[in-house]
Amino acid sequence: MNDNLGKWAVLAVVAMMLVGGVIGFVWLPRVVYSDQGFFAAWCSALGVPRSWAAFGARPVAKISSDVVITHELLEPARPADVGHGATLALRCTMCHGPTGISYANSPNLAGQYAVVIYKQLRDYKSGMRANAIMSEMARSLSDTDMREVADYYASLPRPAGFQLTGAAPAVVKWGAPMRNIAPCGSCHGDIDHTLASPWLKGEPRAYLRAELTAFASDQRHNDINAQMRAIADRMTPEEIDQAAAYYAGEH
Amino acid sequence: MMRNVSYRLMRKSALATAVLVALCIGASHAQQQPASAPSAFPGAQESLEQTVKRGEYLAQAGDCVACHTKHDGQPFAGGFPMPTPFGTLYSPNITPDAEYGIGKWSADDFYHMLHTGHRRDGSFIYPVMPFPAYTKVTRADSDAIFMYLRSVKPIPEPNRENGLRFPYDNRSLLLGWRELFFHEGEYRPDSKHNDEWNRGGYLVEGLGHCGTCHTAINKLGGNEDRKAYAGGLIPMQNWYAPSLTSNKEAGLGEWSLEEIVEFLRAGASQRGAVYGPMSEVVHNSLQYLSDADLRAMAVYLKDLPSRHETPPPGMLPGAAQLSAAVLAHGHAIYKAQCQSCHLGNGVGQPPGYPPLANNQSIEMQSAVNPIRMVLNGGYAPQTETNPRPYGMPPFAQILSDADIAAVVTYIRVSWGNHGQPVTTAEVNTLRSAPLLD
Amino acid sequence: MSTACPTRFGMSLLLLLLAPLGQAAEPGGLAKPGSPPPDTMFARVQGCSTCHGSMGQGTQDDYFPRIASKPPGYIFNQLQNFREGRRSYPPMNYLLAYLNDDYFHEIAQFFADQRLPFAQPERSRLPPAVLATGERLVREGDAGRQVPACVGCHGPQLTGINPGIPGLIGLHSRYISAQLTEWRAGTRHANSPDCMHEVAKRLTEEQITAVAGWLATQPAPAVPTPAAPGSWATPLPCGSQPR
Repeated sequence: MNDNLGKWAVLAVVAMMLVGGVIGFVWLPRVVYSDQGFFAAWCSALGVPRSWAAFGARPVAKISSDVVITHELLEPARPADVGHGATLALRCTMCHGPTGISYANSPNLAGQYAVVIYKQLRDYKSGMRANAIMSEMARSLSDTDMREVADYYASLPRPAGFQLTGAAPAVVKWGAPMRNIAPCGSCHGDIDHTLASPWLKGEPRAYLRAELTAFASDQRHNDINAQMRAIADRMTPEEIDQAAAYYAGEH
Repeated sequence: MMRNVSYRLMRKSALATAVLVALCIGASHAQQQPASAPSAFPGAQESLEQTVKRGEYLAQAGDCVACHTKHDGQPFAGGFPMPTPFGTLYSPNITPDAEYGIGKWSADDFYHMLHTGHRRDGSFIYPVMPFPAYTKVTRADSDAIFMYLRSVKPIPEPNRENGLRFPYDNRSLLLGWRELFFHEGEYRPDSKHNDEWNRGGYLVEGLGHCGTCHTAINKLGGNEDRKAYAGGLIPMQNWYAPSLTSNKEAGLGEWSLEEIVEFLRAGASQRGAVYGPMSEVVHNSLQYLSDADLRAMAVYLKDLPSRHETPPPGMLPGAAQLSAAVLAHGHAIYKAQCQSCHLGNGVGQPPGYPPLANNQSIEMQSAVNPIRMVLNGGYAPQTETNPRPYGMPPFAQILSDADIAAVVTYIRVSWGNHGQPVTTAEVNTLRSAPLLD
Repeated sequence: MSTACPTRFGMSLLLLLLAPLGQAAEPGGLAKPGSPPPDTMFARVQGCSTCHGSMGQGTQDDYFPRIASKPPGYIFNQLQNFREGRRSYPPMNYLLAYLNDDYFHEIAQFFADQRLPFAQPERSRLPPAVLATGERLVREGDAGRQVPACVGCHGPQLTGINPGIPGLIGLHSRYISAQLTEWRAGTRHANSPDCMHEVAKRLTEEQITAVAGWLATQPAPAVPTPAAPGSWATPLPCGSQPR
């Protein structure tokens, strides 16, 4: 009787080991962590840092932006800023529209967070973000000018009557936790807002798609701590399309 | 005792219920009553062609085209956005298109709309359409305008839905507004005055709807009678419509009839030039009116009782202090930038370069207009009597807030002008005022 | 009360002292006070002076172009574009809103007739390789991307052709790159067929920077007037220029 029990116990343990092995070394890497490959899934499950294995890791530019968000940048606009910004912003109307709502695929600036616009202008000027016309435009702006333009655009009403129709796609609503993708709204204002994350609702679809693609390929690299590059890289092209269409208000 | 109390209570509640029910019935009745009066054949002694021509003239007097045409759109096809503090509205298509315009309307429908402020389905019209003024239009004139509109090119442009915020998107709430600000009725000639005065009154109060801008608009979006024509800040556009009363300081008290007529017809005169939203009015409407009609309007305006100017909201008396430094600074800028056209003594070279001395627009209580003129400049509108207008350049991009405040202060107090100084904060705020729609 | 009196007294004294400043005989202009302004186009176009210079020669500002000596048809098209909203720049849209085409022709002809010295060309910060790319694009175009050479329409001296093709000398690089970017984005429109939209669509951003940078460094042309119409065949059909 004792021998039989012992035999069954050993068999049970071995069976559990085999089942566990199949689950852990075959099924999980194949089905759930399929984007990483077997070896990468095993190593990361063991706690090996990604950089050791260099699995899908890309060399990340060390400095992504020299703009440091301080409490000074977050102060409300000084009274004269909006007016000065309005005069300066006349030269921006050619692409960004007379009311900050663009007629083309340049981003809408009306109602955007001031610190976002300021940071992008600083990055254009320093070369951290590159664009033929914006780099030129930003070069002629002083720090005060940038604050004023940013405060002016922040004071404008966001695109009127903009309704987000349809259900949010999965990547926007839930993100993809298995791939370290947070829901977009957790940073971009729908759910919560983290500093210097832009407001996305109403931006042109083509612009959003172009920027996500640029982040994914490292062509754009001025995001703080490479957060957007990491996320965009892990998004599939379909998810990028869906997110862009959703925030642009199109299906 | 209890029985008496409860009986009184019952009676009161019955009365209250009856009042409420009456109001509800009244509201729904007011909303849903369609036009049903039999139509009268318009002007049997006038040919159709003459009626259409007369209707065109009256439509110009009413300036229908300004709001019912969008920027790159066909005339009268609607779609023009009108931002208000309650949201943005879009004008409807009033071409004779059968599906989207007034193609299926009758003259009765049109008159009913103009006169009572109801749409064809019986619902209330938002008062951004100035029916409180157009109610004064006679039946014959309404028919003529209708015949003219029926003769323009039909455009199948669908009507755009208004973008009003809750609860303003509910038309039935307009019942309250109408109670306060709408007095239905055609213009009733005043027997104490002559025909010319009454014709002027008909045009100013009715088709011209001058009071819609030149009377202060309150928070409910209505004009108050006691402030009629005493001037007011136009919401959203941020221009100040000056007082038209016979007040000598703020209004037209010192203008002669000829000066008023010239001003309205040409857009520029010895007294000053039109600018801002008035440029559009002269360009699209007033330049087409006959001399007799313009004179009649001038007669009526000159006879308006003198009223103190309505100060713009938020204006603090004596907010800015006058200092020698500011005046000297303003004088220096005036010499460098303004003197070559407006001359050292401020008399200008009218009609091309208007005078600044003794100019109502410069010295009135509201500083909005002179500040905006310096910021944005402007060309007088091209009219038949002023076919090659002179213009003023914008200075927003080369003068700072302090510069502009100094020079505007300087012109408001010099040469006998009785204006108040302006602050840099006022200048700064107006930099972001919208330039066009 | 005690503070109001001195202020009012002070103000009256101030005005009394300063009154002579306002009413002194400083005629300023050429005409007597009160009489109409000179009946000249120069007097009429002073509305343009603070941005474009009193005679259209341009100012130091990067964003307001030189308009003197441009072809009259081109200037007319731009005035019309601003009034109709095909080009969007609120101060221009506002100034031109209630002026008609016949007056635009007069204004355009006035500026087209001006012969004024050019300002010093820009000193570019761009590396020589980029400027060389810009020059190559201007003179030869980019066959691979089907970009025609700029000189093909704008002339071998880049002085343009009457009535509708402008010269490109004397403009700031920021202005040129802004206009090319606007055409690419579709926020600036010309009469269709919009040839510049076609060209700008085919350019990369680096090419726009190079072209704008090189053009701004070019010295004043020997003969600044636009060529006569039909001087050569243009490679692209263009709504602004009759063929």
